[in-house]
Amino acid sequence: MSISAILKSSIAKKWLMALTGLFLCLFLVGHLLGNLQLFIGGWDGTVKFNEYAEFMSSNPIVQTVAWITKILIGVHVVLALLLVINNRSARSTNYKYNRPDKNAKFSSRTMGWMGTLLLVFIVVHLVNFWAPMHYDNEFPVQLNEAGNYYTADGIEQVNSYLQKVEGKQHVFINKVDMGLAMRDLAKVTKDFFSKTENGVTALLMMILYAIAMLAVAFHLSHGFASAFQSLGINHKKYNGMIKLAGMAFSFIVPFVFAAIPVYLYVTQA
Amino acid sequence: MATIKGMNLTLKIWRQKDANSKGKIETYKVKDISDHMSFLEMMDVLNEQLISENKEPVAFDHDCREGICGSCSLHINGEPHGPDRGVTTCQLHMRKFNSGDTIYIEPFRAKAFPVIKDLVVDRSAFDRIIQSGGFVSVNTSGNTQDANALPIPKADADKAFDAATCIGCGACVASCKNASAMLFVSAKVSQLSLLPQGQVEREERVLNMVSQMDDEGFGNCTNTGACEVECPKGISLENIARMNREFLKATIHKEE
Amino acid sequence: MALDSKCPTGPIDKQWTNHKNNINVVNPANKRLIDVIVVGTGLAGGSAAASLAELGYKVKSFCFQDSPRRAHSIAAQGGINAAKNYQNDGDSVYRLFYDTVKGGDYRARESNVYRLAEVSTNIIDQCVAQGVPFAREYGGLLDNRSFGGVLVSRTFYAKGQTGQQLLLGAYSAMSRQIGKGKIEMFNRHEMLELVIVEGKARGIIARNLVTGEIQRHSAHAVVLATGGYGNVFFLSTNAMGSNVTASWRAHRKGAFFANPCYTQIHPTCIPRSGDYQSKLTLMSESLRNDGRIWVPKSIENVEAIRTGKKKPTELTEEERDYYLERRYPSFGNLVPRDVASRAAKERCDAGFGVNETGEAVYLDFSAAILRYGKEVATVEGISNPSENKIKALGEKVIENKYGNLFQMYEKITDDNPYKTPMQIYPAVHYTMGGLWVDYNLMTSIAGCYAAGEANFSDHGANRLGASALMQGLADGYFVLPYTIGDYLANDIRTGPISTDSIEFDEAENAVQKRLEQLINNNGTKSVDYFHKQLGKVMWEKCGMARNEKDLKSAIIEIQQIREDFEKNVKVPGGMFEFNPELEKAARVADFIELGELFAHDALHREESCGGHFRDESQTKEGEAKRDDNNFAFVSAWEFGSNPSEPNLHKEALKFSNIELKQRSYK
Repeated sequence: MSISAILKSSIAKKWLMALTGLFLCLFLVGHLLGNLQLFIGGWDGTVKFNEYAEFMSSNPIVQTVAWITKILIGVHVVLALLLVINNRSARSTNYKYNRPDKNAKFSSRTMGWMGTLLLVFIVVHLVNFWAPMHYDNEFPVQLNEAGNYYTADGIEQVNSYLQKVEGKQHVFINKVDMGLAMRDLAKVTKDFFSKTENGVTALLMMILYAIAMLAVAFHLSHGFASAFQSLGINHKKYNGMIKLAGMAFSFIVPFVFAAIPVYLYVTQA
Repeated sequence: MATIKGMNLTLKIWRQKDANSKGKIETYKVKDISDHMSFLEMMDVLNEQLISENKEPVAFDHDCREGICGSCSLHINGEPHGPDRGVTTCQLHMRKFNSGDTIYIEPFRAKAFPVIKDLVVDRSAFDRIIQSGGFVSVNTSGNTQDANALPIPKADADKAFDAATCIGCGACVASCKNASAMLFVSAKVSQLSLLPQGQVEREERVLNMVSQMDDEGFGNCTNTGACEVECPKGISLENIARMNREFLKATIHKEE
Repeated sequence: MALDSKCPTGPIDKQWTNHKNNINVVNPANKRLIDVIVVGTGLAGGSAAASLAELGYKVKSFCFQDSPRRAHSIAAQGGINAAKNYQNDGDSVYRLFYDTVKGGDYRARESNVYRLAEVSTNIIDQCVAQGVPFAREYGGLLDNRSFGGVLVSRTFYAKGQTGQQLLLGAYSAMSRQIGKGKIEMFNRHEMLELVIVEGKARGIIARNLVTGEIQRHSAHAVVLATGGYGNVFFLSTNAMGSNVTASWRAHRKGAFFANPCYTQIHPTCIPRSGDYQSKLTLMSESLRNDGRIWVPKSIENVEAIRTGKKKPTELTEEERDYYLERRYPSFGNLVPRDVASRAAKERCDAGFGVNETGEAVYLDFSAAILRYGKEVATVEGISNPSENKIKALGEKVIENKYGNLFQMYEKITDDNPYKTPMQIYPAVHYTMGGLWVDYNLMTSIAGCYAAGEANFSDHGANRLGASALMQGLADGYFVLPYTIGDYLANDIRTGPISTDSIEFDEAENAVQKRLEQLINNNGTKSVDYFHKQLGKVMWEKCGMARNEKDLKSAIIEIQQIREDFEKNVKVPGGMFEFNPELEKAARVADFIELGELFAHDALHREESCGGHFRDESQTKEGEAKRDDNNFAFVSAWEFGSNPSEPNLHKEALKFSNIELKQRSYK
């Protein structure tokens, strides 16, 4: 079979869906571990989180992985779209009376819908945090109680001040450019979910994020184990384990993700 | 046996003159249906009634009426072969329904299963998939090696048998939200890949059968498992995983 | 016309080999120039079509179902016999031959049966090579089970679905040839006429069941593998579509119909539950290994059970009549099918039937459950097990052996056979009679062959369990592909047969006229009404026991049904569309004609043999009495001027390898 013929086949599409899906599961774990730092209170937590954020947005390896992730999300979405189109056309006339609930779980029947919801969420999420961080030159930068700025590498610059270089905020001491200023993603995030800072929008966002995580939970509760089946991994001895891992993963990961905005909203009231 | 009771039912049945006509649901009433009747015997009663009223009887496929030929189909109250499990429509009995029920009866629906008339669909796509590779290429000969020359582990033989019990009714396609034929195709791929006799053509077989399946216009597998639930013979999803595996191996290994 | 069976002479074990060595062979290049039509895609037709195509013939295959995989061979449960002697229990080709001739009550042709036994071993080899998943032992070798009427274990099986697995094997072999373009497949097509040109079968007229189009198909030879005619009884274990039309059309064109009255009535079927019943379901013969058959001893208890005042489980051992064990102490519940069926009928006719229709007896597993339960308890070292524990253990054993059958029974009847005895009653299952064929499987029309259940040749007056599958595949895989070449060798210069001939015109017009008559009849009664009428006469007067008076009145009644049908049948819809009622009408018309021939044959055969029991010919104890002096022949009927005046031809049966004996199972 030629490569193009393979890619055209239904099963190859399913492998790619499975492989990209499982990769995105890994991404979720990484993302979640970083986010956990938001639970660390106080100044140290803020600095740690911001340092982490700067690292993630500057490290070339991380950047490469980030781009791969974006591409794979794209592949996952485009393939899903192709599959949906194909699947829709495979039944040109629909049943007048159908009871899919009798033979298949809700999560398995709504992969497309949940996936679409997730795509919308990802866009919203990127607009909320990733885009400003990357393109907003007025993005808040980190300033401590002593009035000192930090450079992106996490070093406090005593008696520093801000000045723009080619539109970007740099930290200067005595006209010496110490480098890019460390941006305060921690504050932006916390304010985003703070009733005092963001008013009723904060509540709406918290709810939106929680709902989105519910969608992730549904998507994963089928998708995780399903990916193994698509890859041909189905063995009496291990099926139970895979199912259990899938259920645990699809419950724990979105739950913890969702806990962050709820925690921020509640603790900042 | 339970005492016979007379059931009165409202039937909402898909009527379609031929492949090119538009169909619609028509409503019929039947009376005094015994709960010992099979579903198709209830349909016989309806047809006798229609004939006596000078109306055209409802066409539906059926033959052996003991759940093995795979002719009967029917999507009954939203499920292929109706609400009972592990049975075909011909073995579904009216005791699964209650007097006063409304029953929706539609054909198995898939682009690859075009309606011929009323509830009768054309499932020859399944035949073409088998023709593309669902066999072992041995000619008839009085000189094949002795049947016991190749011992086969009982577990493999049993698994191959379980896959081979597929009756080709198409309930898997009918129940699948994507009208996918993966369960049907994988059952045959599995049967032959589990047996030593199937090894020689193992790679070609899975590639050809999957390619034919795609060409027929069936959808993809989303692993919802609906097919396994509705399959009257309980063909396992494990077969689909095996086919995915076989396909992977064959694509990687085969030069062309 | 004299009947020449063309059986080879010489020692019986060399006949088939010598025959093969001496018949004509068509060279491979010429096979391409020869067309063969195969009607039917069951075990015989499917395997014949595949094998002929492999040899190089151009094959056209026809089935009325939507796929060749759905032929009714698929419903065979128990297994397939073969003289492999894998169990080292002394089986041999001769023993299989002997058992089959004896089981058939000495009314089969020795040469044919010996050949059947001879090729039986090749069938298993062939099927295994195709990937048929037969049951295996833990060592990986093939498993065998034993069946009624024989003393060895020679039955190969695939759970309770042997027919399905074998048919799918033949179907896959066919599919391979269809994929290669060597077989042209016509699904949903029904043969409605045989076309004879210059005395040779040269084609068929078929109807496309989807469009209604009437088509001409020509070939150098026509193979009919269209199964049996059990549906003449309306209720049988045959599929709804199983019919006699192809055979009957050939018969009307000159093919002799042999032994139509030989019908196998299977003792263990699920009883009829009401008038709406459309078909009967078989419960495998294997159940009689562990089930005990009984009815109550007293009429009072029968009444109490019928009215629901008593349950069968409440009757004590003394109140039960295990009539098979009583009448046949040595074989007990394992007497051959015909004997078991007649005994059930005898009890029910005497008023001891246990259900509302009065046509059911019990098949009781409680004794086996207790026996197995105790065995398991001993093996597992359980001391003083409670009765419930023993039952639970025993039920487990029974479930492992017959689980799928018990489940099927429960789905159909809503009764749990582990807790209450099964109800069973005999039902029409198989027809040993069929088109007369010679040793080459050619009918009395040149170039028209019959294979499988459609012919008459191998089972005599009673077929043994697990032999139908063997015969179908033997005919299709290993006999016909050779013997047909002998005939076709003369056709290598013939060239394609034109369908533009007077003979095709006439045949097509006849079909057209027949169908038009049915469609335009404007009668008042549905096809099923007549089919049920016919079935009732057949069952009551030509069923398990027959006598002169009943048979004579059956002939008259069937004639009346035929007249009534011609005047009053109502077929809705049109000719040129998908019209199942029209299909049924054409089939029932032929069944009615066959039914009459059946009665004529039964009336003529004044002996009892195998499935044919004449009240006039029985021993003092009520057992069947054969009359070898006057009836050791095959009745081959020629269609006369009308369905009521068939002409009888006799083919004498000679037994030079087996001594004729009266069967006894006492």
